[in-house]
Amino acid sequence: MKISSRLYALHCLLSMLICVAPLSARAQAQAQEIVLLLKNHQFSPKELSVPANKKIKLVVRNQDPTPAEFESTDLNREKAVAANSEISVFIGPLDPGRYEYLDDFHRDLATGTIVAK
Amino acid sequence: MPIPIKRKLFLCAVLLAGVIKASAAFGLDEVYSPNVEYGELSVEANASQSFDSNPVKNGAQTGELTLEVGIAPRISLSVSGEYSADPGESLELVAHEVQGRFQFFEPGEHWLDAGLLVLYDASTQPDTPDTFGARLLLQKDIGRFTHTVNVGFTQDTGKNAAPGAEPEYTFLWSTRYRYSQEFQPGIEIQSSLGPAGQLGYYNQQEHYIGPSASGKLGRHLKYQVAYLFGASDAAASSAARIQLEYETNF
Repeated sequence: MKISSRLYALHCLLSMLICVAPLSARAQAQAQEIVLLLKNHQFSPKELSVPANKKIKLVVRNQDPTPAEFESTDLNREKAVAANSEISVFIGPLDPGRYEYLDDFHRDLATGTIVAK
Repeated sequence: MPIPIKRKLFLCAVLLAGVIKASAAFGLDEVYSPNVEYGELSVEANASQSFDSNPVKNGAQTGELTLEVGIAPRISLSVSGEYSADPGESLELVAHEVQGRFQFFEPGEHWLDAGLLVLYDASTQPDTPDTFGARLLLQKDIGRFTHTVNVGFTQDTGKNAAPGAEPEYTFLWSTRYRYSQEFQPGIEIQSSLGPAGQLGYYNQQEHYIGPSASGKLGRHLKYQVAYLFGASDAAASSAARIQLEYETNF
């Protein structure tokens, strides 16, 4: 392989990274933080109201001694949360409406709805 | 998954001979999300095949068996066995692949989700080069639509790489409508753009576009299927791909 080819490949890789660098450098608009509890394999509150058209930082706090997975097709989110720990999930800005979610590890027990209004 | 080495060599031979412009279809690949699932272990099986009235482009196959682990909140690693068959030949193991996926941000944290995939293919075939590559992974949710773009390159390397071998570029696009967890229809575009010198020559590149569907069945099983139509002279008339994934957490 010519040196120029290697440099060209390296250039491509760096260009990719440069393209997304402004995203990380840019100051992020402040997301409103809202806590969602998970205890006894039940979400609390079961229906969570959030403001529409605003970015939300949803803190999912698992108070059970077993792991869980916050999952929502409506929101396109899937993230495991270990026992007795918490995760953050960024959602929105959401159009007004209802968005279902569940604990993928306890599908029949732990379900809930986010209502954006 | 990069273009199989054997097929690349075949393509070079055909082009150099000036016999025909077309080659065997490149293997359709997964359009990767930048988002990694930490603590997840998955076993994936992928397969693709080309269809064309021209026997030179008909029946090219690729396959891949992968074990992927989300080893850290934003990093997953995978190892794969890659299989390939040119038209009329039998599927055989052509490479072992190691791949890493790095998620730059939390999903939804910024306007665009982004990540990087890097890979190294160690050829199992005599006299064929190893390959390394990288892809920028971008994703954006707009309402119930999820748009995913992969832009990247692969580069032959190692003692068997041809002198002057240039990186070859790929572009993949997927848009899916999140109708339900089980069924998410969409469209896919997959393009093998070739080396830099070929970027302006559309019909020497392989372009495919067509419908796709993906979803999750129950807690553990995910699927992706796509049937794409060739959109350039070098592409086969059509190509199909299927991916099945069994996932669990540790």
